[in-house]
Amino acid sequence: MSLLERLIDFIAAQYRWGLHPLKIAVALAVPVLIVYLADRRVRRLAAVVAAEEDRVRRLPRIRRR
Amino acid sequence: MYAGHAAVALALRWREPRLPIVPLVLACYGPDWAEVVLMAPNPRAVMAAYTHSIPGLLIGAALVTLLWRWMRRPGATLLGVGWLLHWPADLFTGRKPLIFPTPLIGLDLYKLPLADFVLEATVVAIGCAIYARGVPKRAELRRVIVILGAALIALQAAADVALGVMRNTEWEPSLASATRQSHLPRARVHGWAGLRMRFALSPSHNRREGERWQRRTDPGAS
Repeated sequence: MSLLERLIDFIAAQYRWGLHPLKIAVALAVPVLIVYLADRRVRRLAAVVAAEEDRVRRLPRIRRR
Repeated sequence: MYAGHAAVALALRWREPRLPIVPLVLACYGPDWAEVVLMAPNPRAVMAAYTHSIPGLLIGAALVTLLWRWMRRPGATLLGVGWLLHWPADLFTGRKPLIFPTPLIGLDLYKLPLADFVLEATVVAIGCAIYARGVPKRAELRRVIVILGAALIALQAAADVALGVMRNTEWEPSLASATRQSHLPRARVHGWAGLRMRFALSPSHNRREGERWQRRTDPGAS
């Protein structure tokens, strides 16, 4: 049985055994965590990009060329 | 709706970049979190009437907006909007109460996992595209957003496959209460009586017309 099949079986078993509040809480926390991690990465990269653009803007025109 | 709520949060974030993403995503899943908290002492079906009905939704959205405004943080209105958008999103995938525990209204796409996956993947793609408009146009940033969208879609796929494996009931969409489900197939009443039924104002009128038509077509039945 592949890893994917095991994962699907595990999720189906959670449905089959009934939806306990703790299981739903975990299921709801996963997308929140994914979005949080991605947004943090995007903000950090955006800050680096902004700092780089700012540094280039401050350079004398002759050096910028 | 599952991953779609996160996509709604991503789309709303574009309107107010100063608003932290975690409170926004939590607000978009707000009624579900409230249901989880209330589920501890009571069954889930009972709690949905409080958390997912329109009055419950309005109260939740007002509370979260006031709390955020009281904390003097930007984007209080967006949190409320995110909370309110939970209901129209759920209307497609499940069946939710309007005001009282019954009737439950919705397209019930959880019973058609493939259709649910297509819908939610589309919502995630649109949400990520709107979110991408708020960040600098750089390849490394776009890559992170593509990975974010792919992760949300994979999460939805896992949930839908499990739903497909578990499916043990038929698709039962509902756009009206049981007495007003004119979109569901039922025995057609022809002629003048049928025309009057189609333009009837009350379910009891429809019932009377149906009985009258049945008596006329099958006098021996009564």
